[in-house]
Amino acid sequence: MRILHDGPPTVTAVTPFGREMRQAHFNFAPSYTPLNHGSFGAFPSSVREYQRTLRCETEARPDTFIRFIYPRLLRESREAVAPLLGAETDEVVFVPNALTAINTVLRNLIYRSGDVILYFSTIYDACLKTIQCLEETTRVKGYCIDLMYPADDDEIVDLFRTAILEIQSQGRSVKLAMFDTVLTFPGVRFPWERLVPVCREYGILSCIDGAHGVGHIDLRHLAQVEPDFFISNCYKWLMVPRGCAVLYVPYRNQALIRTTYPTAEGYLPHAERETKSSASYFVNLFDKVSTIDTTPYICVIEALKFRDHVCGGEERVRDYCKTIAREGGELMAAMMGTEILENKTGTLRDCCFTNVKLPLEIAEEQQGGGYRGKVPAKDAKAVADWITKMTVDEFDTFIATRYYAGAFWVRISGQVYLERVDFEWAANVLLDLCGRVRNGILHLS
Amino acid sequence: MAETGTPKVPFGIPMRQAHFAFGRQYTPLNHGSYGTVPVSVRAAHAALQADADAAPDPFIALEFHARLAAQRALAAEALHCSDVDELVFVPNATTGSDTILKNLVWNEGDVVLCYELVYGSVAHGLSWLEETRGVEIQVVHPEWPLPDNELVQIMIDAAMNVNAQPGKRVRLAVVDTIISMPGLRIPFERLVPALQALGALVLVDGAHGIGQVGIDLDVLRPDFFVTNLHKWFFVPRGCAALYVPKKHQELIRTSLPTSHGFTPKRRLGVSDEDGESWVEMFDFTGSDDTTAWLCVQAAIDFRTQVCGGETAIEVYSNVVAQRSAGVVASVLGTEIMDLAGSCIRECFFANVRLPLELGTEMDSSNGKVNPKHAHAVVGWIKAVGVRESGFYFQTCLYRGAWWWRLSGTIYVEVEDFRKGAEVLKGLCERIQNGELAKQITTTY
Repeated sequence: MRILHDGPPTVTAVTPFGREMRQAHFNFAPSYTPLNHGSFGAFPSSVREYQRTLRCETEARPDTFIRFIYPRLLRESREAVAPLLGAETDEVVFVPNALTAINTVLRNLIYRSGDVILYFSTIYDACLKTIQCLEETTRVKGYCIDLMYPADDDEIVDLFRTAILEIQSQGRSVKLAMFDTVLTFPGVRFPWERLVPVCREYGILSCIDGAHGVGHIDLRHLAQVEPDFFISNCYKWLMVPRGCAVLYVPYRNQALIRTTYPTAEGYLPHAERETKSSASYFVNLFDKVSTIDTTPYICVIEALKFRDHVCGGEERVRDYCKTIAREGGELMAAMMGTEILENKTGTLRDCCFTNVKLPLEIAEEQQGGGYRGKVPAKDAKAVADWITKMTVDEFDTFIATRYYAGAFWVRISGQVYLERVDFEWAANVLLDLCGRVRNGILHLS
Repeated sequence: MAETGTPKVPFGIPMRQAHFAFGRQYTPLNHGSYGTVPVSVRAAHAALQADADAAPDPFIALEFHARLAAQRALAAEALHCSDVDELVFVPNATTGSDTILKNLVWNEGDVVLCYELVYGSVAHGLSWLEETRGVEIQVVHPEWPLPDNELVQIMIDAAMNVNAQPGKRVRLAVVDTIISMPGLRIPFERLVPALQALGALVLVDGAHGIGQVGIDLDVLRPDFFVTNLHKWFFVPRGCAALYVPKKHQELIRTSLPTSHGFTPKRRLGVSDEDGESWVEMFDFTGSDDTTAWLCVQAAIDFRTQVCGGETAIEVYSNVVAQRSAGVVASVLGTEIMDLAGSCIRECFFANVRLPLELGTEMDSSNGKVNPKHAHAVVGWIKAVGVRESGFYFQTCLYRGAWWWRLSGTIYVEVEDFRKGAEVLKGLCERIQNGELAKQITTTY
């Protein structure tokens, strides 16, 4: 297998999605049903083999590979991923994961008294922790907009605008707003394209947490939407091995990013930075940070090849993932007699997740000695965790279950290696487990 | 339990062929930069990755923490750290050091003390402190090689000078176990208590540490310590240990980056079942492939069962480096960096001077190197050496002379270095004959 991508691609026939795709190209344990792509991703055999080759090459001649071959492969990778964001190569760099990228952006900014970071209650937990950490160590304060689903896009935009005005009326100012492309939980599409212009209107920096971004939704219009910072994981929906995310910083903002986290070779203090163009400083900063396994960064081209030749192209992949999630979710809801999470305008499902309600009710109050098929509110989290754990222990899968807005919901990820029968099976598993919950089989102490 | 055993396969070329997978045309003389792992550890690593791929969620979300705890315990034992909850893993020493630098709360008058050969990325981290936190960085300039007593005294004097200035104090001192370039062992066992006695916190950068130099954290009790397992301990790349004794853990509030495990102050002190411990904060700092962290056992197995234990490895690696240095110096007609009373050679590195002379701006004749090209020499030797001969030479310019840093390991022999020296000698002659100068003037 060649490392360098300078030959004609080997054309393989497109493999049908579903079981065939899974068996031919993925490496899940035979008894495992992979319904949770959104958490840790998965990548096909061709990418795995390619990564192994890269690792072999690295160990065959460590200095040669790392110092002389890798930089060229890294540049090619950046050139390959930039068009997916409608961006230029030198506006895109790789980091190990979205959290590193978010910390890089948030920690590089300089905050004055009265500065606020605006975010929604649906923010990814670790991002919230980052803001909370900054509240302790800088002058910035976080401001949370409460959001409950199902919510409509207009509502979200209104809440956003209202929050900005409220903050301003307090004599403070929003320095940066952070929001998602697709939420982690519930797994729903978020109207980020509508919030970015609002940010611009008020002079607020927009930082998009696109953890579920590249490969999940079409982002070729990203640069046109003009967010100030954009972050996306490649190891989730782009089928690249774990340990690869992109950080997009348009040229106009690159001077704001003074250091990587950790600070490394490329860092220059202010006076010396001035002698370089901000573009070349930015790119060079991220070229070589600290010693980690960066083979995931240079697997992008191989992953894109797989998605093109074996899957029939990016659009085909995204369409299938979205459709199978939609249809699978509907099937599950029908089987369980429940519903999928959707708003009035139908925009939530414009992504590759489905959120299905479980057939469990919350008890109004505990009737002495037992709850007759309903779950006391105080036990709800434990029940949700129990269900998740049982899907692992007994059924060799992972169905993320949460208690949310007064009901139990599961989030399932659509992917090219799934088909309807997998969702049908999931519904049966959940029916089984919910039945046990209702029968009070749970030991919750 | 360290054994003074015999390796199953003789060290040197037999070991290289039997247990490592270098390319045929490649002679690996620079373990110090990126390390490498024996085939058995690679296999263990690949198996762990396959496990993760087979069922990602259970592996990462459910099983990882317990598996990691076991590996941390092994590292803690190897570093003689009796409380395993004072030791976490981070991707590399740079991340570990930067975690310390960026977490400390710096006050007016705080000074960081270090010497000029502090590792580049750490120096940049200090530079960042200067720029963003107004911390003063006091850099000392010992001239290596120098006797240990002198080095210790220079650092003590420098610290006392700072402390004597009104309103200033050395808040943090940074020392290495082994300096990177040139490769020099440091009397860190003396420096740590000496600087602590003057009221400083001491960060020991042990990037070149575990597996090369004896480290006893229970005895040394540095305030902060980092060491790469992926250099000299044969663990795959992306694994280092960060030691922070319990009494200082409140100073290190967040991992870098901040992740799920961060506990905001207003939740601390409140009994919170969901709160994570300091150690757990470092379990998961963003999705990554941290299967390397689970390979400590495999590395230890190789070191004990195949190599015959730590002492066997240490003796061979040190001897092969020092003996090879002698041969190299002979071939090059130069000398090894050394001085009586200095511990710089008590490690797996040796530094041999290149047969090149630095000219002046006025006089770069007779084969001398024009000062404008001095730094380009290093890059040229690296690139040409690799391209033409399969030798990668790690050299540096230090105080007007160029030095080749040799890395002694269990998979090299004196003959490897002798061959390398012949190639390097030829490269130096070409530099003397003006080849580099011509390339630079035509390229730029």
